[in-house]
Parts: sequence; C-alpha cells; structure tokens
Amino acid sequence: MSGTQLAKVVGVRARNRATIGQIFSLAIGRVRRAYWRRKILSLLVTIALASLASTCGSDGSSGSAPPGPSTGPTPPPPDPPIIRIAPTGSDPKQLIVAVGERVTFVNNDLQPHDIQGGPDPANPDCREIDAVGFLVPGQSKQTLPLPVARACDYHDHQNHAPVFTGRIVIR
Amino acid sequence: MRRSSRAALSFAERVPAFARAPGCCAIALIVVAAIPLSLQAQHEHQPAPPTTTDWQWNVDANVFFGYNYQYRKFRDFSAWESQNWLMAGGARRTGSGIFAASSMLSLEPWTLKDIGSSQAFQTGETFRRAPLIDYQHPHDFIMGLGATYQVPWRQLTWRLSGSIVGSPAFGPEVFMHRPSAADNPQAPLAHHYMDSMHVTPGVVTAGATAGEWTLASSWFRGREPDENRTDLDLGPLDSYSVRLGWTRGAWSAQASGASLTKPELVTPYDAKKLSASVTYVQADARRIAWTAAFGQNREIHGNLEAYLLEGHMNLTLRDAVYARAESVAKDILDAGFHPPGVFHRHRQSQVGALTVGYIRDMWATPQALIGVGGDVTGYLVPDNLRDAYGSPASFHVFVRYRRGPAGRTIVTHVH
Repeated sequence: MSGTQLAKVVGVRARNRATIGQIFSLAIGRVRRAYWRRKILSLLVTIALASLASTCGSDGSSGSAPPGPSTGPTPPPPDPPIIRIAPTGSDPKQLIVAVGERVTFVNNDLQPHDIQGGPDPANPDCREIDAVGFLVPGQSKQTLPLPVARACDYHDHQNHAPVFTGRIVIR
Repeated sequence: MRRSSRAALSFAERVPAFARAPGCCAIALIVVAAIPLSLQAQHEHQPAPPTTTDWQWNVDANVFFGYNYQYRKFRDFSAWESQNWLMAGGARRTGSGIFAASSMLSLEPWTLKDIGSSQAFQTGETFRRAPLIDYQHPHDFIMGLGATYQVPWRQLTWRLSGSIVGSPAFGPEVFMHRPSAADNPQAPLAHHYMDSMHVTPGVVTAGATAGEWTLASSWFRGREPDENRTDLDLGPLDSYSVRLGWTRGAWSAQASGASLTKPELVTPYDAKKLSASVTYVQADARRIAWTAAFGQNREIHGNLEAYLLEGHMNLTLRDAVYARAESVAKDILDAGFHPPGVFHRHRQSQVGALTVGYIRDMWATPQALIGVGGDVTGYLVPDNLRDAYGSPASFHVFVRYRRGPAGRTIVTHVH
C-alpha cells in the first residue's frame, strides 16, 4: 500500500469514528432527558398525592383557614394517679394528687384486698377512698374525687400489715 | 403434765427440720406404698375389732394429681397440684376392750402452693396473717395422731380417745373420708361450717354407744391451725363439743354443737357452731352414697349458714359419677382482721355452687386403683359479689390413686 492509499483509508475511518461518536452522544442525551422527565413527573405526582392526602385528613376547615400562630408541641397528658397493690405491699406509699382528682387502685396481688380510708379500721377517714373497697386480683377501682387539700391515709381491711397502708396527699 | 407438754413441743420443733429434709415426701409415699396388702383392712374411722392380742394394721391412701383451672372475671388462675391423704392405724385386744392407734398425714404443704389451691369463694384459715379468700388452704403434714380405747360395760360400749392431732365430736365425717365425696378432689365451700375441725391440735373425747345411738363429747383446743403446716399447734384445751349420732344399716345421722374459744386469728372472739347431717351408703355394686348436711357458724359479726348435698354413684365397675350442690353464706366483703374492741355486722353473700364429675378406673392392681377423672363447677353469684366475680367457673382434670383392694371400694365409717 502506497502512502496516499494509506491516508485515504485513515481518513475514511476517522470520518466513520466521528459519526459513531455523534450517534452515541445523541443516544446518551435522549436517555438522560427521559430520566429527568420521569424524575420530574414522579415528583409532581408525589406532590399532588401529598396535597390530596393532607386535604382528605383535615377537618375540612383548616385547608382554607389562614395558618394560626405556632403553639409548639402538645405536652403529654399527666399520668393518671395509680396505686398498685402487690404481695409486697402498696406502691407508691405516698402519692401526691391535685384537688378534685381520683386515684385508681389496682390489685396485682394473688389475694383480694379491701381498701378503706383512714389509718386503721378504728379510725375511718376520707370516705371518698371507701369507694374502692373490695378488689379481687386483677381488678381496679377509683376513689371518688378527692375534694379538699389535705393528707388522707388508707388501709387494707383484709390485711392489716403496715405494707398495705399508705397516704394520698391532695394539693 | 408439764413434762409431756415439753416433750410434745420438742417434737413439734423437730418436725419442720425433718420435713425440710430432701426427699421426705417421696419417702413417706414409698413407706405407705410398701406396706403389704395383707396388712390392710377396709378403712374405717374405727378399725374393725380385732379378736386377738396381735396387732391388726390398716393402711389407706387417696392421692389426686391434676390440673386446676379457675375462670374469673378479671384474672384466671391455674395450677398443677396434688391433694393427698395417707392414713395408717392399728388395733389390738387389750384386757376386755380394744386399743387402737391411728395416724393421718398429708403432703399438701409441698404439693400445693403456700397459699393453697385456688377455689372461687372458698374461705377459712389465713395466709400471711390475712384471711384466706378464694383458696383452699393446704392441710397440715400431721392431720391425725391419736389413740382410742373402747370397752363394753353394762350393755354400753364406752370409748375414750386422746389425740395430739385429731377430730373432736362435731359435724359429719370430714369430706376426704366421706363415701359421697370419695372421688372429688375439691373441698366443699361449706368445709369451715361443718367438718373443718378434723385437724385440731389436742383433743380428748369420751363417748358411749347404746344400740343405734352414740353420744360423745370432746374437750379440745379451739384455735384453727396456723400457717406453719409442719408444726404441731399445741396449746391449752379451751373448747368443747357434743355430738349425738344414730346409725341403722346404710343410714346414719348426727346432730352436734361446739363452743370454741377464739378459733380465728383474724377475729379474736369466741364462736359457736351447729351441725346436722344425714348420710346414706349403699354397699352393693352400685355403691350409691350421699350426704345432706347443714352447718352454722355463730360469730360475733353474724350467723353464717351452709347447706350441702353431695352424692356418688357407680355406673359400672369402672365408671362413677359424683356431684355436689352447696349454698353457703360467705362474709367475703368484710372478712378481715378485727382487733379486740372493733367489730361490726358483716355483709353476707349467699353463694351457690354445683359440681358434677366423672371418673373411670383405668388400672386396678391388687393394691391400688388408678383412675382418671374430671369435674366442672358453676356458681350462683349473689348481687353484692357480681361486680368482682362476674360468672366464675372452674374445672379439674386429674389422676387419682387410691390404695385398696381391686374393684371400686367405698370406705365405711363408724361414729
């Protein structure tokens, strides 16, 4: 092969290479565009669904109402005052509650208990506690609302062991 | 007297140590099971009269092992447990009379929970110094240990007995000996109204029998057994009872009364008891047995009454059915410790219970009967307990071992 023929062949191959490169870059560009098109479309669908869901979950008035001032996170409700009775005694031994609150007694023992107001049977007191009364294992009952700020002792009429006595402080 | 008392207390102190020894339960069972059948006789409250000066021995045992399920409104209870009673005694002719010694043991301090067997509305005795409610207490390891001498004199048969632990002359035969309750593992709700004094520490009884009639009176310690199930709760004899009994063929009846000095730990006041019962035991193949009984506890906070009707009948040589119906006044709502000077009328709750059961003897050997059975109990709950109990029910499935001759037997008793 002469030098001229060689140059022609190289030139044809160079043209062919340029054509393949253009086709390749064109294909890559189409794929990228389709990718971004799908991406944007899915984003729009997501936004649309989210807005639809928020509309459905609202009470119907919040959608048109202007946003009010931010109040911050809602504090969790206070734990209801509970006294648990176990074979080892009542827990807690002293419970502080607000005026007007009720106290729940839960019997987690194997035996019944009989919760009454006052430090012992000879000195009944705080008759709102008598509403608890007889509790079989697993049962729970509430006192009546405790109306006056004071300290109320209670005892177990079934079992006079000191571990089953306690105090409710009403503030 | 002082010396014997010291000796008894010393024995009492030794019993818990022995009882805590490893394997004592198994040893006791093996000892009973190892006694040859030739030494056995049909169990009787009083052994059959021996005709010679040689000792005649009798052994009896009733062991239930099974599953107890108690359905309740707020929390169910269940347990694998065993109720069991082992009895042994001997008799010989002495002079013109008969001398007999008897004993009765229970392994329930180890085969039941410390608090006892769960049973809705059951009451009696204490746990951790509080009244026991909804549980049948375990029986003491030593349920009976005593001796009797009886002699005929002037057309009467006179009887004198003394027991370290025994049963005073009060009420019908205790449920674990009653033919009408022989296959029922559960204590009656009326137990503490009519037959609970069978484990009384310190009993002296004197009586006489004339034909069909027997009059007996006991002097005993009135306090119920304490929570230590392995000791002897000895103390001064401070209570008394009287029982008039009648027997003719298959029929027997009794009426009795007792005056008790501070029987309950949680209610330190004296009490009285009344009881009456009629029993029928048919000795043919059907072995029909039934008991109707009434009991009344007369306490400072009110009179509590109980009515019981129970029966047992063989359907075949292997199959038997039993039933128990009760109506018992319980003071569950006000049961509690009452210090001296503090008492009030208790609210009463008239509880009804009906148990029906079936048992089939699966294996019979020359020395034992082994049966499989079960029962169901439903309750009539009074209004003042409905909030706490709802509509409870219970069932038992059990295997029963009875030591005795082959074939279904019904034990008989002499009062």
